[in-house]
Amino acid sequence: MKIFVTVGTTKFDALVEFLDKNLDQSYEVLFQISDGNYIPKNFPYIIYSDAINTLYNEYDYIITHAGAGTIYKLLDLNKKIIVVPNLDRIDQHQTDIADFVDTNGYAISCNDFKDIPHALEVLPKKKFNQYEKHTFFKTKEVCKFIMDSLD
Amino acid sequence: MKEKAILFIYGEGGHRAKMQRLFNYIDEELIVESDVKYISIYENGDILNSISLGYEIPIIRDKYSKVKTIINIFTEPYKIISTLFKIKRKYNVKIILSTGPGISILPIIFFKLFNTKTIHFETDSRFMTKSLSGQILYYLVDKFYVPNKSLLKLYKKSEFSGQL
Repeated sequence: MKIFVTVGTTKFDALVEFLDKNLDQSYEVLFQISDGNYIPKNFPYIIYSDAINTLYNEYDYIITHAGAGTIYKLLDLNKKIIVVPNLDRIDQHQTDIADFVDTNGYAISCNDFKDIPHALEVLPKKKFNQYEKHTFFKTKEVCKFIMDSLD
Repeated sequence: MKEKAILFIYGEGGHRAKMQRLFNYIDEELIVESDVKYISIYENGDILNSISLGYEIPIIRDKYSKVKTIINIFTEPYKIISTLFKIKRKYNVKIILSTGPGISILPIIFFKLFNTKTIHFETDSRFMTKSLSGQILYYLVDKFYVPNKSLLKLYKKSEFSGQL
């Protein structure tokens, strides 16, 4: 099983440390840790990647922080993902989108790290709903507003 | 005579990425006179390459520490306001486009005093709850776009735009 763990641009040490210590050593795992202070000891890691989309495609499953940009990109790529809201942050806004994707059957959300190993076991056979993105459609309106304001 | 400017304001990470996508959309469609400048306000060195004329301002809200946030509230606004005056002296900012989060609040309040038009694009990560910056900016801006339909119930006068 090939697993890529990504925390985006904000460190998420608690998640990285938990997974580093608890993931099965037979898994092929790569961590993307941003400016995190915890350095994985049992699996390789990168700080950041300019070719993150390529990495997404190279791995079977992704464990991701609940950042909107990352989640939508992964759903767009039809990846099977486990979403973990970053509760290390003072603002707890990531729970909103994590609940949304889980409730609607687009991904599995784990607020508690202890649920991740079980989620990884069910992930291969789990059927997810297809996420349909509502693409931005206000370009003309926004441009008109800008033009009017420049007059 | 000061140059007319369009001011883009965005925070780091996803907010910057969202602004990049917005910029790509409007750059294809927008035809402005050559004397109109594109300028930006950003944070933490996370500037968009597409809008290289930028002003970095400090972050007030610390992601991990309430104490640091409180200290920043007393120490950082001066630096921000000083930057805003610098921009004001040089440019006639006609419109602000914001993808938040809190980085947009002070500049929008400041430039509203000079009749600058303002648009805010709410974060994509919200479905059932309001962001702190959204709660404030909703009452300040001329146009408030939401990426998810469920947010129309929370922001009654907002407009659904789809996701950037």
